[in-house]
Amino acid sequence: MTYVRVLANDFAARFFLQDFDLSQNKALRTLQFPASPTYCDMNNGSPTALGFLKYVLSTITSSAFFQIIVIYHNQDFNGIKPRGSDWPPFRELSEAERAEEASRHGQKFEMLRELYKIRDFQLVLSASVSGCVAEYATQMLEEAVAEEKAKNGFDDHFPEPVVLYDPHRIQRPDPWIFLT
Amino acid sequence: MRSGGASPETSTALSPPAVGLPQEIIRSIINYIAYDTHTLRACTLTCYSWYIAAAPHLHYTHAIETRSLDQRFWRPNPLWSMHMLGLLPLVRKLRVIDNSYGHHVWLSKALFNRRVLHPFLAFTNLRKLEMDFLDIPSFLPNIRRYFGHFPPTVRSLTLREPKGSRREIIYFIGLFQHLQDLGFRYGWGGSKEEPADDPTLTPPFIPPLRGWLRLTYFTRMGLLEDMINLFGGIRFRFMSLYSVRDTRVPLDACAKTLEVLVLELTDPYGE
Repeated sequence: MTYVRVLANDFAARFFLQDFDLSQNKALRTLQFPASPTYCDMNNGSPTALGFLKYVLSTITSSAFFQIIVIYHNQDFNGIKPRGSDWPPFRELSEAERAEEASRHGQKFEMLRELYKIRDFQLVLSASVSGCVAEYATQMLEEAVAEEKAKNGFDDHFPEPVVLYDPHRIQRPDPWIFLT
Repeated sequence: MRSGGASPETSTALSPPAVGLPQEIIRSIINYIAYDTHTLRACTLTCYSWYIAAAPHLHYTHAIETRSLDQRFWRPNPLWSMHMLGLLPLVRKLRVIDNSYGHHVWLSKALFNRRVLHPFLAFTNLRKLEMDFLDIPSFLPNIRRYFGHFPPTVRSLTLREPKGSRREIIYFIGLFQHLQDLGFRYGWGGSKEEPADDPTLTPPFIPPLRGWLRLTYFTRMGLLEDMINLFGGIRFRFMSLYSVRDTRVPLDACAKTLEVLVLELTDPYGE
């Protein structure tokens, strides 16, 4: 049975390729996946996540399909502090950290360009982060897009992505915190 | 804006502008900060109208540790305190969670003593229900005594490693006649398939199931197939999958309805 190993660590999820034949799904319009694993993937030099996504994309026959959404969480930004840290919830990045984050974004765009060769889609970069860092996260993504535009440009073969903020619904604290 | 009948001086002193705003404006302001718990708490202390607007957001989610249900003499009992304050009808999302590692506490009928059952019955406006390690067989056949007040409002149900045969689990799902979203969450290593039993156990309702299907480490394809047969198909529009054996079953069953597919490339629960 053919499968791809999506992550390179012990929590690897195994996706059976032939199971992901989406040719029967005639109403499919959007494919979403998180940003993080593709970073790991590209860093490890293993094209597994890319291969998996390319395969899935190639099976789509729905005429309604038009969009890929890449979801970014708090942990995808070097500058966002862990929950419970002091205010402000983000920090200035060092030059090295900036370079590292820019490199990760570059790898992500490289991967997305590969996907665009399979079929056309509208690319959305969605910051699914806590409200207090929404502005920071969207700004970081917009800067990444601008950097990619300056470096490699966007055109009909890979149009400029849209950056969105998708409010991440924070888990409200257990009420007994207030009652004790 | 002033309260009617008061002199301008009194009105200014007693009704600062924020207090005298129409309730719908206050609701709009509060909606804007619905995710900011600290600010919401501050708003509830401002005045009655701000409290009325902020309290539903503040109590939107209630989480109960299964282990705490068994501690009858532990004080204060947060569930009971919430019940006595009349806050439980404000809760829209209830999570009965088990965070223990290794020795899980089953959410069984034995835990539902009087001090748990009474407040539990006060969750009358739930939209989302998440339960860890629910021991469904222990509640049968009188399961409606414990969960019968949920079905009219609950739209979303997530079960983490429920105990029960396929029929028992499907029967439980079938209690919720307006259910739109369904989630099954298992741990690393996947789920154990149990045989279909008691074919006479027929779900009381066929829920619409047109929202989200979320499957994590899910291998009980027989359960899904039986559900499709008993409910006459499933029509989910959104699907989130992580480490699911034979994804063809849900994907083909929703071939005409699936609009958004989320490929969770890492464990969405971070396990």
